[in-house]
Amino acid sequence: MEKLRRTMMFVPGNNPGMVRDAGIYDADAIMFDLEDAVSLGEKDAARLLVYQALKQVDYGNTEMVVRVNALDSAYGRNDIFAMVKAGVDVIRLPKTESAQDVIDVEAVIVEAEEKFGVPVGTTKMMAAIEGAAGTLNALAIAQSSQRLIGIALGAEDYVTNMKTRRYPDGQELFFARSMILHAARATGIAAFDTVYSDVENEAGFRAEVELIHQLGFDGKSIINPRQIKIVNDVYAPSQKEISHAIDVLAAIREAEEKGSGVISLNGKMIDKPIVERAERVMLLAEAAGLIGKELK
Amino acid sequence: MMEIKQTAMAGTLESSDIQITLTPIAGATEIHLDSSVGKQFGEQIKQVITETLASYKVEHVRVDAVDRGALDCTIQARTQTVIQRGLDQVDQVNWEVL
Amino acid sequence: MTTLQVKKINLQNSYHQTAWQKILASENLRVEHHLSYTAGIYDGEQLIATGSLQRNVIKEIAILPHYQGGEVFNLLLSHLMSELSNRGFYHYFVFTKPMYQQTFEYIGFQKVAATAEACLLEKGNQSIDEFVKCFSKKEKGVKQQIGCIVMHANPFTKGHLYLIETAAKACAQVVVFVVEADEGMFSYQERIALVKAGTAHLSNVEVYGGGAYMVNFATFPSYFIEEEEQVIHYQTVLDATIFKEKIAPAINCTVRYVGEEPFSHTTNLYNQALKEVLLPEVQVQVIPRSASLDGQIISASKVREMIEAGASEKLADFVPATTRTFIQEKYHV
Repeated sequence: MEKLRRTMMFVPGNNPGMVRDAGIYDADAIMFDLEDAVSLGEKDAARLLVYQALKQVDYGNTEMVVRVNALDSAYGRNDIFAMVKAGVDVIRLPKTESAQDVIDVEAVIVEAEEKFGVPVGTTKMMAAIEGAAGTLNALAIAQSSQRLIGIALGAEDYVTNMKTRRYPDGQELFFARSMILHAARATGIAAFDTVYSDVENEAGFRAEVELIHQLGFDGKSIINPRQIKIVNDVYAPSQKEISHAIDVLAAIREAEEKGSGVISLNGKMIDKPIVERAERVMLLAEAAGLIGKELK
Repeated sequence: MMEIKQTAMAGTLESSDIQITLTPIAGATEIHLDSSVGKQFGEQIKQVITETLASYKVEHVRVDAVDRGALDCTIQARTQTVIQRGLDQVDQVNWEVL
Repeated sequence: MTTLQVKKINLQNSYHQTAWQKILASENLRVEHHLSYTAGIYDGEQLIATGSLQRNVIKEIAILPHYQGGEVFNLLLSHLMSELSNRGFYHYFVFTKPMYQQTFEYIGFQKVAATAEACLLEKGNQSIDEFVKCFSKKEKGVKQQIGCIVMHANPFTKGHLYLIETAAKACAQVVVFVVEADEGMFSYQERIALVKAGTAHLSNVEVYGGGAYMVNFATFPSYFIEEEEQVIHYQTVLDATIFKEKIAPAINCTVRYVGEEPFSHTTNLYNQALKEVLLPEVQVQVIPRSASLDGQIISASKVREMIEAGASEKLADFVPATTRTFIQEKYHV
């Protein structure tokens, strides 16, 4: 079953209050940041804080992601070891430029899994693309490891690299978003959009979420719990979509009961993409509280 | 026994955190705690600090802690951080102790 | 998840400097120079709080009224304290208004001394109570005249020696504290070694480092020269209060000796503050300056001038033999 990843909430890794409370807002995924949100002198402190929180705080079924420091920094290797030992779900690589970056981090993850007796392959990965080179290599990056659950756009560094800045309409990100989305879809992994840092501007945020929803992103990185509801609203399916999905799933059950290999609805054949779409709509509808579990 | 080489500090005074300073001394380990949750959890906080010091085999230190309502996992993390800093081993994480 | 950001303020940038001065003015703080670090808290683009360090002293704390009361204060002080530990300071001070004493005590600071106008608090791996233990006299209540002198001795001159000898004749015991701050030509280690060497012949004189507690503001006129008298007054009164409440009882001090400084207004203010605070428990004896053979007033600043000018002729008149030898070895003068 596909996992919902509408919202991935960024939480600074060295703030005990935020780390403790991160689970209460119902984000689909939580990303503890050991990289840009932590100053150089506090890298050791943040690593240990997130390590202990992952081990001791109950975050329920939320997917737990940690953004580690780059391998070529003094911290990356220790970050990866500590997070693997703590049993993190996903390690997020910052500033991924090539498939080799992913392969290098995976080698360290394997080392850590073997050292701490974690079954090799348990720890998943995601890669953030934050520059021109990474964008052009998006497909190779997406194909570089079986562990990858998704790729994400990191726009702040990207726009700097492109000699521009963020604009309200997001034109400057159009190519990167398209590349990342195509690479993700071609390899069957998730695509995440970048953060929107003006927390006060709810209208601007909603417009951006509508845009990335329209393009086809799985979800958005968020920096404030207030942004969660807006994303979930935009991603909630319409009544018409839900009604159609219910019909599709009913037709499948009917065909199964009849032992029929061919599924049809209203005289049209239902093929795999339509089934997948219906399943996703039901998942989103349930997450948005629009239907109860019994309908599934 | 692990010898604390230098005074070190970790943590902040922000809500839910604990700020811990570790100083090598000649005598037995002392813990001085100043806590917003006061007497109610004071003993438990000292217990977590004491156990963490013991796990690193650290003795002969003065601990000054200012607690702002930290969870046990935060107290542990901050104590481990201040010990690693005091041992001058920030980049050599002691995996066996964690 | 928060919009508050802590950043270093680059005061060289006039844009930042203007914003910083504005927030200080709103809290009635004077702009100080010689700061070693300044931090700001920003809500979006707006500077809403600031605090600075001067070596191991936290200063210039200002928070906009809307943000006062807890979170921003803790964020700011946490940041300044980690900056202090990054700089290797694990014992630090804050000099603040009495109304903020409790606020700082709440985050682990302890009072060193307080006056009606100012309060000095400290935090870290040393404290004044630990400090006074080093030289505490056990035999309390013994009726003896015990004198005390605080000096910078940059370097130790015949003038300093005269002051100590005068006290040593009148008292059963004399305790000399050498100011530790390293600001002048001679380092603290050099200065205290020269005081010890120059007083070795006096059996009733003990020499100690002044720790962080005997700043002796009078010896740093350059810091305060531009200050209004009121500021000098509350700094010197605070210094005298620390001496009276913490240092004097530890050594059973009955009389504090100070040298007369006819030409230094700041020193006169300092001596005046000592009298104001110490009497009647501790006597204050002002000893007139001694002069060299040809009638010149001896002062450490003149000695430094001679060394800088390479003028060796009169050095031996100004400093004892022990100091003279050291100057010869170090400066070849």
